[in-house]
Amino acid sequence: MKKFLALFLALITVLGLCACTGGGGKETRELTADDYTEDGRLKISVGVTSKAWVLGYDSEENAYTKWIEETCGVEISFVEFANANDAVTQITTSVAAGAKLPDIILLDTGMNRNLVTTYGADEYFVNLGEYFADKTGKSKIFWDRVESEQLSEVDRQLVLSTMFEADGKSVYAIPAFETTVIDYVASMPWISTTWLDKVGKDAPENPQELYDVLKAFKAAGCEYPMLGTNNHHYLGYRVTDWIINFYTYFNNKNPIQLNDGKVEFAFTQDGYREGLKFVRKLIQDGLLTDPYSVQVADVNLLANPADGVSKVGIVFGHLTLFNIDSVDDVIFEYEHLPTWGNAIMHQPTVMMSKFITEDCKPGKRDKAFEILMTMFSEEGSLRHRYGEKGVDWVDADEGAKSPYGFEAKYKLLQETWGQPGFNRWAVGGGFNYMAEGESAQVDENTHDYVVKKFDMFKKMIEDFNASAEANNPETILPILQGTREEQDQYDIAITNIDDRWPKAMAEFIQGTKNINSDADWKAYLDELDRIGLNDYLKYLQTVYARTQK
Amino acid sequence: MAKSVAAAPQTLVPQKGWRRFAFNCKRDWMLYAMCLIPVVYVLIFNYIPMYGIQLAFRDYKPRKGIWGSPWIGLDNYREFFAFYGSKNYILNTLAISTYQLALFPLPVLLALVIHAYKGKTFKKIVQNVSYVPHFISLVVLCGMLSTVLSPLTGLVATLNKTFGFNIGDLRSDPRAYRHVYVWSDVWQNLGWNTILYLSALSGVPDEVHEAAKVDGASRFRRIWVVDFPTILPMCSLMLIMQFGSLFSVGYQKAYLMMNAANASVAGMMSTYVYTHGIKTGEMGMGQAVGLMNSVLGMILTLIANGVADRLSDGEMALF
Repeated sequence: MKKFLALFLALITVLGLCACTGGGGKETRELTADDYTEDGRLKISVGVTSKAWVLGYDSEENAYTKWIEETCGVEISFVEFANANDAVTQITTSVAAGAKLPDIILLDTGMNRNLVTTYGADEYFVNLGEYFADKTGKSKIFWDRVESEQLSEVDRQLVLSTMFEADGKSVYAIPAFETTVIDYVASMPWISTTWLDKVGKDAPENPQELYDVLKAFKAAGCEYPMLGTNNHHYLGYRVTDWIINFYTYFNNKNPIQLNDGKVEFAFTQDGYREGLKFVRKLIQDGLLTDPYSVQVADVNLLANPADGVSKVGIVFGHLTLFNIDSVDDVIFEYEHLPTWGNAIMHQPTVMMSKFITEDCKPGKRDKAFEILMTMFSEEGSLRHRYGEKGVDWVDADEGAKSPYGFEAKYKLLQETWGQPGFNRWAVGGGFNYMAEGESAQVDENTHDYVVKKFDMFKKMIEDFNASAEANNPETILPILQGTREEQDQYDIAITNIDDRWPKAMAEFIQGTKNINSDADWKAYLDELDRIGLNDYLKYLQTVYARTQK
Repeated sequence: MAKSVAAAPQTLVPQKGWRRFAFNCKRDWMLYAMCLIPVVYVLIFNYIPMYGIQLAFRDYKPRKGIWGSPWIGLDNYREFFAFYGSKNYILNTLAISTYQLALFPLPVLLALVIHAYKGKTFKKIVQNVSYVPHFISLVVLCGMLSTVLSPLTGLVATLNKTFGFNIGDLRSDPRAYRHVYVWSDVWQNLGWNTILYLSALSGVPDEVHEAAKVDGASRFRRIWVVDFPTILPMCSLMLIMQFGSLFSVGYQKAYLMMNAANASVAGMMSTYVYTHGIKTGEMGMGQAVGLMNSVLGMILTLIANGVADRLSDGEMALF
């Protein structure tokens, strides 16, 4: 029996060792004939996030792929990842399992900044710092676009501070940057003009007026006076953020601000508490549905009822929630409410979304970088956003202006907003500051729907700019990125606070904790103190002192 | 098989050692062949991965491999307990498990009822209908829950409108989370969990029931004195095993049902492993918490087995 046991344990050990050595032979890092096609083009594999609305389309055959292949002289094959954030988990588990990564990875919603730093330092992602050191070299397309006048200084610094590591040289990811005002302003509250007409009121301009309007909607029979969601959308506001910004600056994605040279969190401020009190009051009085319960699908359904009469007074979300293709002009019955008090829209999303992996052989990396730069180019961005040139869009007429007075760059051929999924990759976009309307040409052939939509955008942008000007940008900080050592040192405090405050916010809004109770508020602040608030602030202050002053 | 054993001359059977083992293999090769597949399965999926337990004590860097990653002692555990929610996560895990444990008698009751019912067609229908939900994936189940429980468009909305109820959103209400979690699990697995008990009950000879009838036992009395004692050892076995999994609530359903509003009760050790271990690439942390779950589960199994052993004089113990 003892011999059997010994043999059994020995077997386990041998099998375990075999499992951990990984089996197969080591792949050469030099380029071989297998890395080239018959006509001499390099083969590059690209990992892309799958998207529900483009499922089934053929990435390898679409127009964007053909264009990239022709422009860069490569043959592209695809590895399809899971959807959105699940793609990051898939990459993480692949890395842990020692699986080979594709040469290029393009993510839809980007990767957590700390994880990018970790994977860069651990040599899973190639350090692209050398490419960016020479602004006239291979990264010229990038620098030309980032340093163009179309990008504000604030946004430029945001892009650069996000993509460069704390040493100021290393770059492990190329960002996708949705700087276009339209996309991040579009995610906001929309008020029904039908209901406003019914109750004989104007659009509200402060919390008290908002309360009165919602009360009037309810009294007039509006089933859902205000409908919104705190479930994350990668663009723009959440309903409670918009309300809190009546009282204090608050951006849920980066809830820090500067006060007399000191970094502080918005979620410990009195204004934040006042905002939460108002949210709670709206919920208690039946004027706002529980923002943690409303799903996007519900919003969609309620905004577009079959009988054509919306049951919703104010609906919160992105323009696309209105399902604009299927319902006759429902969108035009709503008008947006402006960003009041504090414009959190100073910080558009910079997503760490494009990577070259260490599994990409050194001989392929220049070509891989060229592909990313091609995507980043003006034409690459347009093709990425609007589809095939000559089919979905064409160059603008010479001297033509966009609806907002910019030089027109292109003219859309599609009738509606459109998602030309069959002609593009849908993920890993370029540098989309030339979105629809800002530099699109409108002429007599443009569909009436597009013209109306552009008018709507124009008003949105004017309101946004007016609101943004009213703020003091100095109080608003970009995401502060510490070194890996700093992150490790304060890791527990960062994890604790980042995990706790959003949950506490939900507890206050839902009434599990009483936002009107001083004791509950003090207990909340004490808990944050206990689990590392001061350490976290110390970390942010250190990074701010080093990088921002 | 028994025939072949009986036919073998007693004097030719080796008494011990490898020869005895070889003799047994030759004689019962079919049984050993049948055992081979589950043995290989257990080896590959249960024993070989034990090699990775050491990750709990290393700062795992995939590029360096398991042996190349530095030892960090108990740092992963220190980090877990430094997380402000660790105590809460442990308590949440125990709360869900204990709730599920408290409903342990339900499949036993259903099995007894199904067994006692004589109508074969109806019995088959009940069995099949109650088995079917087991085959629904957790993702689909959670999607169904989300749809049904929506206070705006789901069944709850209909109930509220039709009967004037005022049921809120059970999907995001922390007070409702555990009830929704456990009772949806009952709905999904109740029928399936009766299978073992029904198979045990099928071994009760009809003569025993006939004899009890002759003695004047009612139907309920016969369930109590004939059927229930038959499945009692099985109940004990299942209960002991369930004790062992008190710290092992699966992350999938907990994670799928979790949102910011109910996170205070939905966060569990397994979700921590997923969110702070797997998703962030901290495999060592995930392994550390997983190992802790396993060790605690083993201790609980031993305790439960000891108690069962003592109470039943060894008859109900697992080992």
